[in-house]
Amino acid sequence: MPHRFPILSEDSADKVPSLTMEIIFRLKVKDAMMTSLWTATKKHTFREIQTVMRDNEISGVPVLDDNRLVGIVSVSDIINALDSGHIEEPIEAYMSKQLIVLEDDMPLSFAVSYYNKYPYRRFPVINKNKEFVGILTTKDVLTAILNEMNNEINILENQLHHDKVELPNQIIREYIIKQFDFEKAGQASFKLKKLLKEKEVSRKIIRRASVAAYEMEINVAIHSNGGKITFVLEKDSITIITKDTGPGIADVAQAIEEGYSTANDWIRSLGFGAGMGIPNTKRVSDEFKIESEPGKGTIVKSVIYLEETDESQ
Amino acid sequence: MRVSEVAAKTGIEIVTKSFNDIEVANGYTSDLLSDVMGFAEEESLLITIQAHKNTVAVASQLDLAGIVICNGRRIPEDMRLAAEQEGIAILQTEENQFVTSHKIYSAIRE
Amino acid sequence: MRKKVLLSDVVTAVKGRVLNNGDADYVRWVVSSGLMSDVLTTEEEEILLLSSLTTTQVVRTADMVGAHAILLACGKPISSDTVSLASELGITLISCEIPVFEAGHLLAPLFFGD
Repeated sequence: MPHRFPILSEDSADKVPSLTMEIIFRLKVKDAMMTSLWTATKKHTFREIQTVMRDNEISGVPVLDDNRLVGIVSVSDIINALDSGHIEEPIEAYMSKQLIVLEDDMPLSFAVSYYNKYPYRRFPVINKNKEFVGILTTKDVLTAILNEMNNEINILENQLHHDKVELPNQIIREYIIKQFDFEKAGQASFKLKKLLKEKEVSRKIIRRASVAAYEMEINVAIHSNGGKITFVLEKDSITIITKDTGPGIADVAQAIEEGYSTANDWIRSLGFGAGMGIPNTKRVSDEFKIESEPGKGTIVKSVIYLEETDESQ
Repeated sequence: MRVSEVAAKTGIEIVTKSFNDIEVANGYTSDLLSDVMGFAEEESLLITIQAHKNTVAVASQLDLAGIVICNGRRIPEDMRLAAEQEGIAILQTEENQFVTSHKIYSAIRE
Repeated sequence: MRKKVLLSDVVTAVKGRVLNNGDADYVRWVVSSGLMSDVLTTEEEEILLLSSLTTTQVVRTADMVGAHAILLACGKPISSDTVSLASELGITLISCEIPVFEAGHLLAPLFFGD
């Protein structure tokens, strides 16, 4: 009787994000499986395999005859061997030979359905020629899905750059800033600094632009729900714009004042939130503008001329 | 050496009208109030740019000798009033924390 | 321009430990701060950033102002992230056990005078 293949139960399938579904159909078992493995032959004793498992913190060892998979020894086989007193004997007579295997060309969705169908958390993988090529654990599946999601996000973020139409003599870069991401905050400013260095902008201007970009980037990370930072490099100027998704500033005039800050103690403990960010940005900018609407968001724009003006000296 | 003597010797200005002119035991340089709370010894002069009312609260809590605000940072009125109420001296200098630390260290130790 | 002070002399003065060797072997001035926005206001060049804060943002801030080195005082634990970012950006990272107040004093003779 033909067998319908339940990827996931119908209930749960609705709850799986479509990107995850797409990924488990797109990825193959060979993209996720572990290929660097300990293997045994039929002649090894349970004791020898137990030692390998203990020393390498693994829970299953495939048994090979040439490249053919002939069995697998799991922790429960070792326990049985200890129990029944055949721990010093070769494994051949006792190892599990009824094997459920995956093929390396199967989509990962097959593997996910296997985990639903069988009580095992680990499946040996063979290729078209029935040769043993690896093992797939639930951990490998999760890791592969998460890695692929990361790639997807990187692709989406990179696409942002190309959404903007660059005019001739214009370079535009755009980066996402996440709320409270203190590990990453500053990376966009670092990239701007690198770009300006490549374009042989003077050191003084690079420093001013770096300070403005960094303060603006940090401000979005600290005070907003997240947003993006855009750099527009033109012949005569560099424009830095941050745009966030809220919550907005109630009193802009007050926010511009030095020493005014709404930062809480833990932000202060990180060395930020002294109410100097906006004044600092203004100080190094040739043009500075801040627009905010409570409940909506804030747009900050700083322009720095590439030619030193007299007043900025 | 008392707070007023340290001020005279280093040429740093005292901006509070009234304060307890106590002996200065040590100095502590920090801009992180949580760090000051954790490590500053009593009767120390706190060298900082944190020109904020909270700094007075921390100084009062720890019985510090005074607060030296560097880089010419503006002292808010509510900070000055709180300091006068608590009897804690606020000093103000245009110099940065590095130069100020050196001057005060030299004044009280040498 | 201020005179050059060798980082090896800085290390000796504060009995410091070098965690990462950066691109330059000298600095010209010290900026001591625990507030990164305060550091960003400095006009000084090729500085040593003296701080008791040890997060990766200290390294990023140092990079933004073109600092040559960072001296982390008070013997605070320093994460491997901070060290690896400093080495990626070519900034020398030194740690010492003494507090900022005393470190400032010990460094002063190297930077003051002629």
